[in-house]
Amino acid sequence: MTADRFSHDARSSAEDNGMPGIRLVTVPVEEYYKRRITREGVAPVAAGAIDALVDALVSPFARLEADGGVEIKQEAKTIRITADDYDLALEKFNQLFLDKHWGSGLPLVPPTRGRVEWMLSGTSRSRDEVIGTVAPKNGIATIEGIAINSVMAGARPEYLPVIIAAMEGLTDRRYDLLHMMASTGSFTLQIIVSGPIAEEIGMNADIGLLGHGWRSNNTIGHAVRLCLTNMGLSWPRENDMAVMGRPWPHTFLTFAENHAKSPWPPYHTSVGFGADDSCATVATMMTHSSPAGTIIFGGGAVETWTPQSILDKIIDAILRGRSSMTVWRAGTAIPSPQRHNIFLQPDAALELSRLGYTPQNLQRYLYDRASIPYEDLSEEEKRSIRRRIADGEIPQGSRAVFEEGLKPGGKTPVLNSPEDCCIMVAGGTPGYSFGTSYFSTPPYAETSILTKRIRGAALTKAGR
Amino acid sequence: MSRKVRESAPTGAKANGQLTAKAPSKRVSLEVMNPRASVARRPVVAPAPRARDLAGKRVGIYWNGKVGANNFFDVIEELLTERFPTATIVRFDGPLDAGDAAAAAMARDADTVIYGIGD
Repeated sequence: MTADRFSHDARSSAEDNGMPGIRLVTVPVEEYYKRRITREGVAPVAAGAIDALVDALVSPFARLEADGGVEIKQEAKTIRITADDYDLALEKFNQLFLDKHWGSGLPLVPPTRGRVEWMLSGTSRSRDEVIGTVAPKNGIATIEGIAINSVMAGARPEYLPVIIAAMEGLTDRRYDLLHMMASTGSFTLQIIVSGPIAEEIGMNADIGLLGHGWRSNNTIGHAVRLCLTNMGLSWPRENDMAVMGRPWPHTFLTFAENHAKSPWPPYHTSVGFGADDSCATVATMMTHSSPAGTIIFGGGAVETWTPQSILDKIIDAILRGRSSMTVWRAGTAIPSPQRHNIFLQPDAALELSRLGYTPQNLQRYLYDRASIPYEDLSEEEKRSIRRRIADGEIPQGSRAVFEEGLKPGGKTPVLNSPEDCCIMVAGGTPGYSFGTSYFSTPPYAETSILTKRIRGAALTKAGR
Repeated sequence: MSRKVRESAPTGAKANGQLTAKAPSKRVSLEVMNPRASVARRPVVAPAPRARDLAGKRVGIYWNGKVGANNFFDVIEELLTERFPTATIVRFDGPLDAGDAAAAAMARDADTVIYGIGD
C-alpha cells in the first residue's frame, strides 16, 4: 500500500528488488497525509481502500502478472543528432538529453567520442573498470561512464580522478546511497577534497568556498550529480521523491579543506590515510533546518567570536538532537543520533590549536560536553537509551559510557561516539565556522560518510 | 568534437522562440556517447499465490514505523475483521527495509501480507 503520488516510486522500487509483479493498492495522497494523524481522521481513507485491498489479496493473477519479468531496455551506445547547423544541433542535444532524463536541467557539453577520450586522458585506469553499482536501480558505474558524465558536466580531465574517488565512496556497499538518492527527506551530498591535488586542480578552499566561479569545485559536483542520475537511473518525482528537491542540486556542496591555513593534518588522516595522500570524502547531509543545510557556529565579518563561543554553539547544535532521542531506532526513518561535520574557519582552528586542542581531543570534548545528566533524563528517554544499549545500537566503544550514564550522577552523551564529530578546516579569513549533519547510522547501510584515496591520476603530480 | 561537426557562426534568427538556421547549409551531425549505465538484470521473484478467500486465513500487516500509517492499519485491521470474522490479523513492525529475518517471520506466521510503506 502506498499513497498514489508514490505509485511510480513503489513500482520502481519493487522492480529494483526483483519483485516487479507485486500488487499495489494506493490511497489519495491529499487525503492520507492530512488525515493520518488520528485513527478517526484516517478511517475514511482506509474505508476507501478496503475493497481494492481485499481484491489485491484474493483475485488470481493474470499470467503476465505472475511472470513478472521486466526487461530493462539497453539504449544504443551512441546517439546521432542532426540539424541544420551547430547551434541547432547543440540545442537539440540538450533538449533530447533532458527529455530522456539524462541531464540536470543546466546546459550540457556534448559527450562526443573525442571529448570522452580527452577526459579519459586524466586517468591511467582502464575505461572498462567497474567501480560499483549506483542506487536505486543499480546501474553499473565504469570509468568510461564516469568520463562521459564528466564531459557533460563541463569538467576537465585532471578532475576525473577526484570524480572517480567520489563515486567509489558513493558506490561502496557500506555507504547508504539509497537514502540520499530516494528519500522524501531532501537530503543532499557534500564532497570534500583533501590533500595536494585540491590545490593542483585549482579548488577553492578559502573565501567563497561554497560558491560559484571555481570550475573544479563546481564541475566535480556537477559530474557526480550526472553520474548519480544516469547510473542510479533516478529522476525527481519518479524514484527520487525529495519533496523539496535536493538543495545544492547541480553541484552539491563541493569544496576543499584549507590545508594551507590549517594547524592540523587533513581530515583523511583521522580515517586511516596518509598525510600526503589526496582523498575525496563524501557525506550525506540534512536540509531540514534550512534549505542550505548548514548551521553557522560563529565568525564572519559582522559578529565577534571567541574559540569558546564557537564550541558552545557546536554543543548547542548537538544537544538539539535530544528532541528526537525517544524515537531513534535502527533502520527506521529516524534511525539514530546525528553525525556532525564541523568546518572550522582557519582562525578559529588556529586559536583552538593554541589552546591545546587537536581534532581528536576536540571530538572527545564535544562528545562529553553534549551530555545529559541522569537526573535530567525523562523516564521515556531512559527507556529509549536502555533499549538502544540492549539492541546493540550503541557502538561497542561507547557502551560503557552509556551504561555509566544511566546511574545517578552519570551523564549520557547525545552522540553515539566522539567520531560522530568530523572536524575539518575550511574557508578563509574572515570566515564562518559552520556545520552540517545527518544520521550517524543511516537506515539502509552502515555509514553516511566515507573517504576514498584519489588514485590513477595521469595529469597531476598528486593522486597518482 | 566529432569531426563531422561544422563550427558555425551563432545562429541569428529567432522566430516564435525557436532557433532557426541562419541560412540553408549542409546538415550537421553530432554523435554523442550514451551517459546511461547498463543495469544487470536481477533475479525476479514471482508473487506468492493468492489466498482466494481470506476466511480462516492469517492476514499479516507490516508497518515500517512511519508515523500515521499505524493509525491507518488499525482501521484496516478493523475493516478486515468485520468482513472476515474468521480471519486472524497478525501485526508486524520493523525497519524500512524489512530484511530477510522479518520476511521469513512473515512467511511463517501469515498466509498473506499487506506491506505499507507509509508514503
